[in-house]
Amino acid sequence: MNKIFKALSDPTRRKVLGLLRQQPMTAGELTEHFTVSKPTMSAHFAVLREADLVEAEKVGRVVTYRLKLSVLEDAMLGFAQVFGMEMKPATKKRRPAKRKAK
Amino acid sequence: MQPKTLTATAVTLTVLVAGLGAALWVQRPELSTRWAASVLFLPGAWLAVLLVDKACAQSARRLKTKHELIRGIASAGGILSLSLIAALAQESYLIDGDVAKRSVGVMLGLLLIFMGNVMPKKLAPLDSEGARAAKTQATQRFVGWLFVVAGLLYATVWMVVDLEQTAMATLLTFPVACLVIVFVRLVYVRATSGNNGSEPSA
Repeated sequence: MNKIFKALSDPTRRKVLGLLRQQPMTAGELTEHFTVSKPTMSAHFAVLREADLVEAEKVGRVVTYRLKLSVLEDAMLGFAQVFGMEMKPATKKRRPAKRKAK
Repeated sequence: MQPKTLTATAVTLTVLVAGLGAALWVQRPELSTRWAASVLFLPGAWLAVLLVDKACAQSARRLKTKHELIRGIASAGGILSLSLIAALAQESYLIDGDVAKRSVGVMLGLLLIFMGNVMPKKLAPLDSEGARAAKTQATQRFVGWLFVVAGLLYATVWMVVDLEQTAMATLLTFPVACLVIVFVRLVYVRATSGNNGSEPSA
């Protein structure tokens, strides 16, 4: 579940999922919709694949991505898109630094 | 779920269902056909899995199919065991008939939710243009949502509504689920239009 939250926390990845809702797209077609570099997009695709939210099919040199969302994941994506959630993993509170004894 | 854990779960549920069926057979021998079916159904499914497994050639696809079949056995085992537990509890006067009926209805609702939730995850083969795959996927997503919402309504009806009116109320679950989905979709499209260009198509 943590992987899914991580995948949905990023607006770029949410937009990728939104585009894939319309139809399956190749990696190149998806990258055209963004201004970020190809390696960055590859990293985003990897996160989505790891969370099992997309399926990648390689034919020759072309990788086609398809949406692979369960209804629950679809609902979570919908909430994230509507409310623009930035779901961050829980971080430990910093303890105040101890003052050195004089 | 890992294949080993899934197999262990399916085997455990098969044994549990057979045991419950046997216990009910002893309690009510006049319904022996029903109990015999529940005792033999899952072992029969296992036999079919083993026969298919031996007949097919070794491949990744075969392993995936086997995994799916075992998952089906585990799901069926879960449903059957819960139903048989309810029947056994009713026969042992631990719960009355109404509670047993309601619990089976709620379980069916939960089953619909589970089936609908995983439905869009099952992808059709990708054709050269992708258009047909997109249509299939959109349909799968709609049917998945329909099953989940209908399952929620169905389970709620069996929990809340008077037993004499459940038949009529359960008939309305799918039409009401359709209306709910259309309404939610309209609200969603309205909320996200002009947001990030990722408007849904389904």
